[in-house]
Amino acid sequence: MKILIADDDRVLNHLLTSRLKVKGCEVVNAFDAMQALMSAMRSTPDVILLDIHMPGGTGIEALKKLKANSKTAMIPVIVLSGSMDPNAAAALVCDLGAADFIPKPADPEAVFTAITKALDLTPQPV
Amino acid sequence: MDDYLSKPIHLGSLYGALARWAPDTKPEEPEKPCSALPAVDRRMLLSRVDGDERLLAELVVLFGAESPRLIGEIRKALSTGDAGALKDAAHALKGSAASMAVDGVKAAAGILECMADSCTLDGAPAALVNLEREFLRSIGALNAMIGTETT
Repeated sequence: MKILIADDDRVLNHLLTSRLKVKGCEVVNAFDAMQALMSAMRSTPDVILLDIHMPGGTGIEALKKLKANSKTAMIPVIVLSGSMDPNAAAALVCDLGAADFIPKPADPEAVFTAITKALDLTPQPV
Repeated sequence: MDDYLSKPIHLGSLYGALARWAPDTKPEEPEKPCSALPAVDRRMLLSRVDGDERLLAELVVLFGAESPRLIGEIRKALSTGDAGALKDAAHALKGSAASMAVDGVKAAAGILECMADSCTLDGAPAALVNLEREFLRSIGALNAMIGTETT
């Protein structure tokens, strides 16, 4: 499965990329909101991991645009954030159509579990 | 209710709330509480990389390159009084530090983020000095860790 990781935190982006590749995922990276939208349109990933606090527009704005576009509206989006109250953030982004919310620092195993849940898949042994 | 802090309470959030409601209250010696934190939570970090030593080394190199760049952005934002740029850079560094399980850097960057958020920058130069000190302490521990883990 193809995962788009949209997060300007290069450390977390690299950590999640490496761990998801070990799990057999193909990974596409974006480091700001504009790149995230362009990559989502171009590469049509199976799941998008979307940071809320990014340069070039917030993840919330990006989430709204993804859900308003017929080409990307059905792609599950898992929102990541360390800057908001987790309960409030989860309620907000799920109202906007996100599949899930993971507070930062994001644990790679929790991210993979959320991905499989979003795709309604059972995690496969490596 | 005038404000709230979600638990667990982080020093940065606490200082930010104090700065909002008691502007004369300055975190005079923030380095003391930050330095009381471990330079790196080895167990947490090794768990995040699932014991992958090569990935650990890559992350340490990346963190060692990204952090000085972000500290430079913080310094520049302080010199120009740009609270928005200060908040963005401090937030980014706080996030990377959290991923690397270096809580001293995370707390020090969080203090600067909260100061920027409340536009109370009086104590920011001292907080920046503290952040630089915490970064040096943490990167030393991280480099020692990959030296230990990769030999």
